[in-house]
Amino acid sequence: MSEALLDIRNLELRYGAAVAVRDISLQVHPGQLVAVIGNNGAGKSSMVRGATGLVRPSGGQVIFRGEDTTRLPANKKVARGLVMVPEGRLLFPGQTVEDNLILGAYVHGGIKTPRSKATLQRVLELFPRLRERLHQQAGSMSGGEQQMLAIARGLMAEPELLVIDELSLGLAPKIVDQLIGVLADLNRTGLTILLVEQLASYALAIAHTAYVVANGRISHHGPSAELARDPEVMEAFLGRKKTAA
Amino acid sequence: MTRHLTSLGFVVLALVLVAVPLFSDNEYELRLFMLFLIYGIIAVGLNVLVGLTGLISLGQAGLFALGAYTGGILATRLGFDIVTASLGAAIVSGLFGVALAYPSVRVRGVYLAVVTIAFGIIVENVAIEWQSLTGGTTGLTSIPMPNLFGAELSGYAFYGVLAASLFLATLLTHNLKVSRYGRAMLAVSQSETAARALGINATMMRTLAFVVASVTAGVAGSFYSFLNSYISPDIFTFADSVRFLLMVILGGAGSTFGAVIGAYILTYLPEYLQQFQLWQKFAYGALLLLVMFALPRGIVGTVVGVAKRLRPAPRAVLAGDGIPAEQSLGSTSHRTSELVARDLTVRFGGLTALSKASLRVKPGEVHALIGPNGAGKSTFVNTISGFYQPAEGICELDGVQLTGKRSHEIARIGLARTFQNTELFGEMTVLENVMVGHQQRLGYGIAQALLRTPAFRREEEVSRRTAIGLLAFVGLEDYANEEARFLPFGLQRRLEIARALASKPSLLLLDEPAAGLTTQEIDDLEAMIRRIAGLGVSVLLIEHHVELIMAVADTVTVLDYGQIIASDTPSVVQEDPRVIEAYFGTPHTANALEVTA
Amino acid sequence: MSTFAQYTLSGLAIGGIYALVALGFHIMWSAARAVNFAHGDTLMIGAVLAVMGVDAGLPLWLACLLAVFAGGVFGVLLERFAVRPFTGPTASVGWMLTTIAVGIMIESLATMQFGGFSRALPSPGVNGAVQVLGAGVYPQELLIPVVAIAAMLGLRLMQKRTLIGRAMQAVAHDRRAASLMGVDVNRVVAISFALAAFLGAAAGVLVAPVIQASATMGVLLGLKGFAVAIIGGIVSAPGVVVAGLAYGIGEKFIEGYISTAAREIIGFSVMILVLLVFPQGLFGKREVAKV
Repeated sequence: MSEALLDIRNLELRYGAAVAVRDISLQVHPGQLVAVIGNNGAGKSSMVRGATGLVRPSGGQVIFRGEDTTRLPANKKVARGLVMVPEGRLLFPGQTVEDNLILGAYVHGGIKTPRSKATLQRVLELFPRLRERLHQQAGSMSGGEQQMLAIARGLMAEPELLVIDELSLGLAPKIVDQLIGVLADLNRTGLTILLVEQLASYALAIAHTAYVVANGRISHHGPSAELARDPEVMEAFLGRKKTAA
Repeated sequence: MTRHLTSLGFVVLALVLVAVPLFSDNEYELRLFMLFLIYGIIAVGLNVLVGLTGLISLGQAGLFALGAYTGGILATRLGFDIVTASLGAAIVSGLFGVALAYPSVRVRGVYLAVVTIAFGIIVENVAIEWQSLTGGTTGLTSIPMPNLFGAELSGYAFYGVLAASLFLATLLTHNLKVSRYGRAMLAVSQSETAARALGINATMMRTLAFVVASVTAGVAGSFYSFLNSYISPDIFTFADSVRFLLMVILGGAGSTFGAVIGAYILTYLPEYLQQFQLWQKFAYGALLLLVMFALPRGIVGTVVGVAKRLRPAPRAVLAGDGIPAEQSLGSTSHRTSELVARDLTVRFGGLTALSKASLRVKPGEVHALIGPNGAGKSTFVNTISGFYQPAEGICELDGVQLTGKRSHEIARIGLARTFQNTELFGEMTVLENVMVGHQQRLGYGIAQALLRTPAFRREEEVSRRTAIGLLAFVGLEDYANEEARFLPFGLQRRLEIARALASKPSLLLLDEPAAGLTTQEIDDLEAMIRRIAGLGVSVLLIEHHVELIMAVADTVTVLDYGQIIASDTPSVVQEDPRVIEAYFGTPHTANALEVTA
Repeated sequence: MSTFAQYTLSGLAIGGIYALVALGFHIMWSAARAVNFAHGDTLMIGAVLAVMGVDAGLPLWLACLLAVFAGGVFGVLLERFAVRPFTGPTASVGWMLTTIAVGIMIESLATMQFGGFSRALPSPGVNGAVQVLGAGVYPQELLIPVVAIAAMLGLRLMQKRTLIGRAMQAVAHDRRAASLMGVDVNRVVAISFALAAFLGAAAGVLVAPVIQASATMGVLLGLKGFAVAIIGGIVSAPGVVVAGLAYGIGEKFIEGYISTAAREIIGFSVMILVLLVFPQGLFGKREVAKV
C-alpha cells in the first residue's frame, strides 16, 4: 500500500489532569475516505484536535505527508494541506459568506490569484445555495447551509486532507443525507477525507475504512462494510451487551 | 503545622510592633513607621478583596481619601476624637464600598478595575471642587492632634492606636479567611458557577469583600489625616491606588501576612530609592514588572510554595475522624424527593434549544437523561439548576417552585449538581472543597467568625468532620490536604460528587460523570451511584455512557432536537426505533449507500 | 451662538483625540481581549518625540513620522513582552499591572529626557485662528476630528477589503477558528497592537501643538480614552469614535459652564452609569458566556 498521508502513532492527549485520548493509532491513505466513529465523549474530537494542532498532544506522533507535525500549531498544518472543518462549524457569523470563503483561502492569500478564483467557482458550483447567499451574513443562514459553508470554507484552502468533525451535529437527517452525498462525491473526485462522526451509520455508508473509538482508544478497526455488520460495534453504541448478559 | 506557624507569625508581628518605638532613634523614623502601619491597614483590607475574591480595585486611594476627609472634617469642624472620627470615616467609606460592589454584579475584570479607577478620580476631583467642605486644592489644614475622650494622645499613644489597629485588622481578616466567609469568597473567585450551585450568594460575598476593603481604607485614611494634620487632593492619586494594589500582590495576595510585608517594603522602598533621584520612578515601575514576572504569587506565596514542596503536609486525614456519610446524609427526618419539570421551553435568540420538555424524577430513583450531542441535555440541566431561565414551563422540587429562582436559591432548596467539565475550586484543598459544599448547613454569623466564638469553633469542627466522612464515602480521605487541581481526573469527578453531597441535597444532578473516566473508574462510579441512591437521594444522571445508564438507571428519558422522544425503563428505551435512529442515524440517500455497495 | 460653536468645535478637537485613543483600545481589545493600560503613554511618546525631533533640527514632517513610527514599535514590543505572557485562559488581569508598570517606566524615562515641563509642537496648524460660526479655532483643531473619523473609516475599509483586516476580525471572533484558517494568531495580535499604538502616537503628534507635550500628559488622556471606549462599546469602532467626539464636546461645555474638576467628576460618573445600564456599552454587542 502507498505511504499514508496522515499517520497518527500512539497519540495521547490530556486536558490538565483529564486524559481524553489514551492511545490512538490511525492511518489515512491518499484518496481514501476514513471514518472515525464512537460515542460522545469517547475521545474522537480530542483526537482530531490533537491531529490538527488545536491542542498539543502529550504523547505520540502525528506524521503528515512524511513530516513529523506533532508539535506544529494548527495554522502551520493548514499551510501544509491538513485542513479541518471543526465541530460546531466555527464560522465567522458576523461576516458574509464571501468573507468566510476568502478567509478559507487565507493560506493562498485570499482570492486574488486566478487559481484561487477558480477554486471559488468550483466550490460555489458544488454548493449553489452559497452562491445565492454570497453577501449574506453567515450567522443568518440555516444550520444546514452553515455546515455547507464550513465545508466550502475548508475546500478553499485546497486541502490534501480534509478532516470533518461531527458533520451531523444539530442537523436534520435529510440535510445530513445531502451532505454525506456531497462528501462521497468529493471523495470520488480524489479528495482524501477523514470523517469523524457520531451517527455511525451515515459515516459507515460512505467510508472505505473505519475506526471505532471508545474510552480514548481504538476498539475496532477495519473495512467499514464489515464494521457495519459487526454486532459488537452495534452493541458498543447502544450498550446491549451488558444488559443481555 | 500551618496553624502554629500563623500563631507564631502573630506573635512576631506583636513583638515587632512593640519593639520598634523602643528602638527608634528619632521622630522621623517613628513617623515613617507609623505611615507604614497606616498603609498596612489599607493593604490588609484590600487583600480580602484581591486575595480572596480575586477582584482588582485600582480605586483604593479614593476610599482612602474619603476616610481622610471624613475623619479630618469631623475632627476639625465638629471636634470628634480619633475613635469617633475614624468610626465616621469607616461608615462613609463602607457605604461607598457597597456602592462600588454593585457594578461587580454586571462587570468583572478590567471593566471593574476601570470603574474603581474612575471612582478614585471622581473622589479626587470632588475634593477639589467642593471647596466649602474640603478646602479645595489647598486642602484641609490644621487638623487637630489625635485625641481620645477629650485628652490629647501623646506620640507613643497614637502609635499604640495605629499598631493595635494594624494588628487587629490582620487578625480579623485572618479569622475571616479561615471561616466559611473566606472559603466562600475563594470559591466564588475560583469558580463562580460551582459556588452558586452550592448555594453561595456570590454578590453578597463580593459586597462583603468590598466593604472590608473600603472600611479599612477609610479608617486608615482617618488615621492618616491625624498623622499628617494636613490633607489635600494631590495625596490621593491613581499612582497611590496602584501602590496599594502592588503592596498586596508583592506580599502575596490571599496570605495572612503578605499584605503587611508588602506595605512595609513599599513604604520604605521609595525612601531608599530617593538616592537614585530621577530613576526613582523608573525603578519603581521596573520593580512592579519584575514582581509580575518573577513572583506572581508574591513573597509569602512563593515562600509558602517552596516550603510546601520541601516539606509537604501529610495528604491524608483519618477517616475515623469523620462523621459517616450514612449519618450526615441519611438522617431520620430525611425523605426522598421528587423533581417535576413540565413543558420546559428554552430559546436562545431564534433557536429553540428545548421544546416543551417534561420529565419526572420519582422519589429515590436513578433517572437517566440521554440524547445525542446538541440534543438539549445541557440546556435542560442548566435550566433546572437556575443558570438559564425558561421561556415557558415550570420546574418543581417536592412541590417547591424552582423556576424564576436564582441558582444559589435552588441549591438551598435541595438540588445539588456536578459539572460536565469539572468545576472544582482548584487552589483549595480537597477537604476545603467539600467544606464549601457544607456551607449552607452552617449557622454562625460574621461576628462569630471574626471573634472565633465557641459556637463558631463547634460548627467548624462539625463541618470538617462531615467533610471527612464524605471524603471517606467517595474514597478520597487519602487526598484530603491536597490541592484539588493536583488530583487525577477520575478523582476530581469523585470530589465533585462528595462536594455536592455535602450540601445534603434531596436531588443530586450528575452531568456526564463518566466522561473521561477509565473502564475501572466507571465501574466504581456505578457502585457509587447505587450507594448514593441507597441513602435516599434521588439522582438525575445525564450521561452518554450507555452501559452505565443501562446498569444503574431505573428510568431513561431520551432527548432529541430539544424534545423528549422516549421515557421508560432502560430495556424498553433501547429497543425504541426512534431512539435507535436518533443515536445511530438512518441514511436514506441511495447515493450514499451506493458507495459502499 | 459663538460660545456654543466655540465649545462644540474645541470639544470636537479634544474628542477626536479621545476617539483616536479609544480606537486603539478597540483594536487591541478585539485582537487580544487585553489592552495596553498605558496606551496614554503611547500618545505621550508620539507628542514628546515629535517635539524632541524638531528640537534636534529635523523637519517637522520627518519628526512627526519618526515619532509615530517609534510609537508603533513601542506597541509591538509591549505586546510581546508585557501583554502576551499574561493573557490566556488561566491568567486574570496580570497584563493590566504589567502594562501599568511599563507606563510608569516610560513616563519616568520621558521626564528625564524631556524635563518636567510642557512644550508645544510648532505646527503650521496653529499659526493663526480661523473664524467658524463666530468661533475662533486653529485649523489644527479642525483637523483632529477629521483624522479620527478618517481613521475609523480606514479601519472599516481594511476590515472589509483586505485579507489582514479579515484575519483581524476572525481572530477577534474566535482565535481557534482563525488558526484553522491558517491565520498566525500571534502575528495578527502583534499587528493589531502596532496599529493601535500607531494611532495613539499619531493622536499625540496631532494634539501636541494644541495642548502642549509633556511627560505626564498621557495618563489622564489614556484613562479617558478607555472610558470612552467603554461608553461606546469597546467592540464597535464607530461606537467608540462617536462616543469620543461626544465626550469631548460634553467636557468643553461642563468646563465652560462649571469647572475643570466638575468635568472629570461628570465624565467618569457617566462612564460608570453607562456601564451599569449597558454593560457592553452604548453601541456594543453582548458577548455571550456559556456555563
